[in-house]
Amino acid sequence: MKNVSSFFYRRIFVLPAIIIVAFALLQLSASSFKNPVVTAEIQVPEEIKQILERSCYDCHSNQSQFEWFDKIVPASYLVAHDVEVGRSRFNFSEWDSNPPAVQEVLLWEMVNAIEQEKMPLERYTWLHPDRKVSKAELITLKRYVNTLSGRHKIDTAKIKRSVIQPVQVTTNHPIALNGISYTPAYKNWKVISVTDKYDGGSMRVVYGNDIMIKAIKEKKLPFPDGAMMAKLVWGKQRVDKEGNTFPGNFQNVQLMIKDSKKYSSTEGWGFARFDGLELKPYGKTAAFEKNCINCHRLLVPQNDFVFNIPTKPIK
Amino acid sequence: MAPEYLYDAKNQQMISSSINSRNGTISLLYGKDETLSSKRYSEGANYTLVTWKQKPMPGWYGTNMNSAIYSVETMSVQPGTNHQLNLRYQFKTGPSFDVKNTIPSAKERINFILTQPKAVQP
Ligand code: HEC
Repeated sequence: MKNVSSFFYRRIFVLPAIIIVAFALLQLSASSFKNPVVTAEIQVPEEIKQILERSCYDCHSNQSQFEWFDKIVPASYLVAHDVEVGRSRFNFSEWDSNPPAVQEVLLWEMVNAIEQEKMPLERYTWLHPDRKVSKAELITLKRYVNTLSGRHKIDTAKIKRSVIQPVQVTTNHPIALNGISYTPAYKNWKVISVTDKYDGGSMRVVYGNDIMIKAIKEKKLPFPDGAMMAKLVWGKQRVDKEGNTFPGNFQNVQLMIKDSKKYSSTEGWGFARFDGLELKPYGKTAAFEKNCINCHRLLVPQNDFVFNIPTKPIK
Repeated sequence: MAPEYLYDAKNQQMISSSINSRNGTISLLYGKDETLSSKRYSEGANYTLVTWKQKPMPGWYGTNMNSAIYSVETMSVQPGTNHQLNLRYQFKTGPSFDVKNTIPSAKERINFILTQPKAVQP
């Protein structure tokens, strides 16, 4: 009996001791996130900066300041992952790595991510409730994005109607880096929405092919394979004396094509954009489509990742 | 989804869109393809001007989009007597048209349809 209980007592102390030592050793292996140098910090008014610093900088800057409990394994692995992904999407400390127009779109996207309570991440605010963005702060941010230059952009340039045909007239359509080809077929599709994208000073008309229209009529989500959309984008001319705004220069045409197998890495949607009257394929590498889906995935997962479908107003 | 906001323009094609911030509406002008390349006011021409009420886009603060249809205006140019052309214009109200709204003058609207430049489509 005595032997048994001493064995038992030894067990009861040794086991936790092993766990504690293992845990401590594990901490040494902690993948601690480093703070790289700040190369070009975002320039915004002080009240905006304060909101971003408190609620977003931990994951979207090189000035992360986590608490001790964020640095404990295994939590630290999750934190390190969020920081790595967060920084890769946009980084307030390397803000000039994006051109000014993209910087503005990002700021509008941030407002939307906050409004939809997608950011800061829930798993983060759960441990850091003081980092949530308040209703009043969101209003401040909204007021700020409305002062950005794209918000009031007017297309005053003379409207270009056609490109001078190159000497060699080809019938081939331009092809994006991910293999999606431009098609003028959209002209015979039906319009699914008409928009005033005032954040960047453009107006748009979105067409859907028969499969897309049928799915909308049947309120069928997710959209079936073969569904296609084409979005035409123009600048906005100056408002006339009756209050009308007409399309200015043609900016680009954007395609979304549903093929759940082929485009499985981007939620089943293939993306392409063709710029200007020359229809120059957009993107430096085929990875451009990641930028498209990242925003669609964050903000409209409930609509099968599509913004431009007719939907009832939110009450 | 709200398929009732769709408008089927049948065999007509989009000529241009317009936004009216004063009325909070957004419109599309459609025409039959034969008339798109020739003069607006010519025999056999057919136009439809669809106007929707605007609403904020759900999912993206920064964009307004069409919601319920406000009005559908149609205009056609037909041969009349003595080599004259006959112009027919009609204004039909849609579900978002309120009784308090006034129906605009036909003359103004015809002018709007005839003078609106074609949007550039590649
Ligand atoms: C705990 C870390 C963390 C914090 C804090 C955080 N984010 Fe994020 N953010 C991420 C990660 C991770 C992603 C990628 C998420 C995904 O795509 O699922 C992301 C993605 C985004 C995106 C999408 C970017 C794109 O690629 O299109 C926006 C916008 C964004 N965050 C805004 C914000 C804003 C604004 C704040 C502060 C109010 C904030 N985030 C705070 C980790 C964070």
